[in-house]
Amino acid sequence: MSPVTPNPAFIKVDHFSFWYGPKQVLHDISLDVPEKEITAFIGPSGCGKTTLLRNINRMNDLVDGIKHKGDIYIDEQSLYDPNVEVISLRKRVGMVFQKYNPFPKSIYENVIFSLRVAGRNGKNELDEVVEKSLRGAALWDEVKDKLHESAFGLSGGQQQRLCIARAIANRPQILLMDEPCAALDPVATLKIEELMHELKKEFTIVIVTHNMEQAKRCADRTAFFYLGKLIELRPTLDLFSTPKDPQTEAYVRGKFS
Amino acid sequence: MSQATFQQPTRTKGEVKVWLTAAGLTVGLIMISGLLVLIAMNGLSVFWPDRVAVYTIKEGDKETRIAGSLVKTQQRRKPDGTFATEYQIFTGNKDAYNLAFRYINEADVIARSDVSGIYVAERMEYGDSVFTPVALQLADGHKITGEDAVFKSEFARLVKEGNKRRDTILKIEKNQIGDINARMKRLEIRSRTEDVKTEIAEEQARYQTLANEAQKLRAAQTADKLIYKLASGEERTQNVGDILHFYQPNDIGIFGQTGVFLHAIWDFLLAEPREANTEGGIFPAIFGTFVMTILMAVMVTPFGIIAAIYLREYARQGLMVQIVRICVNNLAGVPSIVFGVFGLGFFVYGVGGFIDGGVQYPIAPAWWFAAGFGALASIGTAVYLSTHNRTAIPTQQKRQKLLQKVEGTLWIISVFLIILTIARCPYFHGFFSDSLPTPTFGTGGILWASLTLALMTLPVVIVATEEALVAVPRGVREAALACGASKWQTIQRIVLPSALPGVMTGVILAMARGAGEVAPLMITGVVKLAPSLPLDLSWPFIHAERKFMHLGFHIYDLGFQSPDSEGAKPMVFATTLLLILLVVAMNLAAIQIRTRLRRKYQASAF
Repeated sequence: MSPVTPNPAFIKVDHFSFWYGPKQVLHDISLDVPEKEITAFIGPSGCGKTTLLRNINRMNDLVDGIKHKGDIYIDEQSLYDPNVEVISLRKRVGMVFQKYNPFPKSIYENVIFSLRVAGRNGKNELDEVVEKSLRGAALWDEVKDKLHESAFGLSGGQQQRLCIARAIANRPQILLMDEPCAALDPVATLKIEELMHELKKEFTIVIVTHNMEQAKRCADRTAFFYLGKLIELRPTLDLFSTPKDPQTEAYVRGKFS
Repeated sequence: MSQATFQQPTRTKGEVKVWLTAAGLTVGLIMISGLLVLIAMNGLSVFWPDRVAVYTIKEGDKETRIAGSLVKTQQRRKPDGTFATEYQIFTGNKDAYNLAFRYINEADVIARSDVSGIYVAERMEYGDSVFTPVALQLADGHKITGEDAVFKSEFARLVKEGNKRRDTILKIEKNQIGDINARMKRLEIRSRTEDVKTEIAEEQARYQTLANEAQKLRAAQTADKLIYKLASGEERTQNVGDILHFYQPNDIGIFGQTGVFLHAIWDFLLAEPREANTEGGIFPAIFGTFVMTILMAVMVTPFGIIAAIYLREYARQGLMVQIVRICVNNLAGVPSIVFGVFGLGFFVYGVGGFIDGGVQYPIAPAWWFAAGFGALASIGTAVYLSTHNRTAIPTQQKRQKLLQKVEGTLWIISVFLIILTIARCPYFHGFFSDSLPTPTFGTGGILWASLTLALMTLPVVIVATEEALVAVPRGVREAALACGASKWQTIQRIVLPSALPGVMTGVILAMARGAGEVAPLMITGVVKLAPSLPLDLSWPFIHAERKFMHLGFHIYDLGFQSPDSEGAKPMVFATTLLLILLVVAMNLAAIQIRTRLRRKYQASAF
């Protein structure tokens, strides 16, 4: 389905507004996320960046009383089409959370969870997927001889990489990362940032981050949000060196966070 | 800032509350251990073989001698205000004295002597006997006197033979003749429609041979006789075949006494009861309690888990769900006898009567087909709506809500129609109508008793499971959903395994409560003496319609319903001890399972 040349509007958010009950959290957001690039959402707490991220794989459906206007398209397919089955959507869009949350199972079972729930249980296929995903998450060498031990035996950074391996096991097209390094030490953070540069060759990555340095290091394009509105979306270096909007400038200069 | 603020305060505020909690715990522990020690001492002392003494006492102006072991010494208040000591002596020989225990005043005792050569024998009827042997009268005419060197070994040999013969008689009568009886019953039912005369004759011939064999063995049991003398000098005769076990209380050392002690406990645990449950063992009661508790746990766990999953995960958390939850919690406070009455009415007479005899008030076939068809149609439509009524488009959400209401109504209608189809079917005449009017399932039995108790302990399991489900962290659920799992897959693969330790806690509590309840059992299937066990080696191995014995009921029956309350008192304590140990054992097993589960799923908060 994906064209040979990367789609510049692989994820297209089109005049999207979102309400949690009576409270409006996103105001008329329109942005394009290019294929096979890393796009960062930055902004102060409560600006709606995580909410927008969670809408891309419709995780917000879990909350009661939500309302939305506008649409989000992935590869020209609307997410809110009545024919869309949320479960198959989530197989195409993987997510990594702020606090690493491996299942209370073995490392092997953690990685292939998405395959098992899809009904694919062939042992050869599973072994192959495990190795490929763990290599893709730069974790294979560290765990290859303890695949059937509990996932809780790993360190924090390793567990987060395990969650990344789990998210990419099904070869999704998009990888959403919600502050993936927030709970990690600097060494582990660096490892994951290096990993993202590898991953973007195959996946479209959207990352929400509080850490502007991280956005500068990793992201190709950066979007700045404030109070539920998209203020500015530009290539990262441009946004940080010559921000157009005064609010963006105040934020990147550290005047508020 | 003064120096004083940097010093350690001499009395830290709040520490007194630590002492208070420790004191509370200590009081509780002392009470529990005190109770256990009391029961253990009273219960185990029953089995210990006491020394027997011969007392010469004044009876009126005559002197008599009685032999027995001292059970209790107590002070009795005399009319003039002073106290007199009296002894309770276990004399045995209920057939000679009408009572096994006797009270004698200390003042009446002239002499007391420890005599050797006294025997205590456990008998099939009238309990134990305390005697001095005179002679053994064998079937072939031999006579071996009590002083003879070979007396004891011959006596032991004959008693062993008698025990073996008794087991064979039991096997013949209970198992083989029992099988013949079962086959005869089936043949009798068949004989109403077919000609089975030859087969009936065959069975009767088989019965005759077995009956003859049993008869011969029974005769052999009465062939050898023991002539013995009581302490008063009276001579009596006893069939050796009716003696189970004997020992010499005054002539065995500490090892001998321990041997008799262990033998008595072994017998208690594994033998069948005799003499209106005052003698013999209580194995059927142990077995019945165990089977019933396991059956109850097996039935309550799936229902509790499913109900809790629906209440917590699927139901919309509004007023209806709150009301349901309050009702479930209140169910835990209903007195158990009310559950018993409900079990009797609904399970025993209602469902049991339905299984036995079929439908009492059928509806016309045409209406029945309509009801059945209607049930299928409405279930089909409801299922279709539940899977296809999905939309994220805001304009269609009103329609979605309307269809949801329709779906709900259809579910209710389906349930009603299904019950109607089953309960009013004109073609169902019961599975056991041949045996009517003798009820099979329409009377109390282990199945209905277990179901009633399962219902009673359901709230405990539901509450514990709900708490365990809530304790599963949200992050793990979200991760599962983000991996493309459906809600049910998340519950089945992630949430439920993590919640299992908490569920086990609920099951442990349910078992503890259920094993101790007696009132509902009394009306739904427990009996004083059950002819057979609910689980045995004859097809279909699990006899869910049989009545059973239960330790709790046994205690009540022994304590309040037996003709000889003094004789039964030791058994009451021993049975209480056993019931406590059984519940502790089952709880420990369940705790072990829970610990193993907890280690596997560290993430769980329980």
